[in-house]
Amino acid sequence: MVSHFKKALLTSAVIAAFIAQGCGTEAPKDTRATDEIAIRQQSMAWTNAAQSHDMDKVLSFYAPDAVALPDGASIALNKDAIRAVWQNFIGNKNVTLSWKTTAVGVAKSSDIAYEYGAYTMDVVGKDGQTSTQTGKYLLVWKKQADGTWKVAVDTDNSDAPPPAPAPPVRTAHHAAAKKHRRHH
Amino acid sequence: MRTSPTNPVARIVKLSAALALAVGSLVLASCNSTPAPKDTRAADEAAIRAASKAWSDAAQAKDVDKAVSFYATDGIQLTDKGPLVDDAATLHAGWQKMLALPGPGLSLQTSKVEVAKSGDVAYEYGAYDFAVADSAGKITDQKGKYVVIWKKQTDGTWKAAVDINNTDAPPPPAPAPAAKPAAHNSAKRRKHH
Repeated sequence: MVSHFKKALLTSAVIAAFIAQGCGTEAPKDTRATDEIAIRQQSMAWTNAAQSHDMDKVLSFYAPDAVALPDGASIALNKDAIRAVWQNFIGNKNVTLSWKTTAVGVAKSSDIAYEYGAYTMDVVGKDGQTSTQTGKYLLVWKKQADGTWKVAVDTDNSDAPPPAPAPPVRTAHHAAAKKHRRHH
Repeated sequence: MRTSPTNPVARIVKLSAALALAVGSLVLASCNSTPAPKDTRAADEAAIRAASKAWSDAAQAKDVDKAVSFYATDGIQLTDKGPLVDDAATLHAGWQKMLALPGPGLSLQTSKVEVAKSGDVAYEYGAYDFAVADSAGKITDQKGKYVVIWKKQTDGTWKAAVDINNTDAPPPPAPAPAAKPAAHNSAKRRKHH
């Protein structure tokens, strides 16, 4: 009788474990590591599209409700406005833009993530000389219903401006003030 | 094999069914008592908007220590026309310099806040106004945009993990004596990646 009871106990434990397993699936899975990889791949595919001056492909990385906050221009609140921002240099073969991810952070719930990094813009002048500008960018990524990550917010700013050509000593203070005025 | 009420196999089956039911309901009961994390997004958004307002007020009050207190300990700033700043001393020095400029100074106006379902990460973007007085006391407003990535800290407060801003107006044309080709200048202005 006791051994029967033991067997019953064992069997019930197995059944209870199955029930508990079903309960466990209620908790959301932590997918942050794979999400970060997916976002880094998206960012790389995006910079490749920009380097090949593929406008449609470039725009395909934005979520339908994306906004862009471009440096030196007003906020772009829809796809047409975002296209116009890109047109200025995607449409110009003398301008090549590329960027590199520095860090990605994903929310535990994997619905929102952010990425920041550094960009480089090469401009070939009329004289054939290439000038390079560098800057920083910040992106907010959102997971879409189909599981892909798209850009919801896109912004950037430039690094230190190139040194002014031979500034007179007395304007040095003014230049320093100018440099910090935009600092927020 | 036949089963009957006296059959040991039938006894095991009965007993295990009863026990499984008892243990199973206990497990389920405890499972229900620890439901999915609560959705705190509405309260989180209100807290972030309040923090952003307090940050703007601190800037208006030229309170450097208060202004930098809104950054997380590992918070960074992607400084406009400057480098990526990831240490507290440089961050403090940058704010000190900016808040020392004459005039009403910096104010922020939130446009949007969105919080992740898990309530650990959020973003905010908005518009800033930087009012600077010249030597004659004339105030010039510089307008721009900002984005902040907020992270909930262990004490429940929200702090800025990443902070970036840029100007609405394009930079003034380079003061180079010789006129540069127009195409080159307009391309230069488009720094948007």
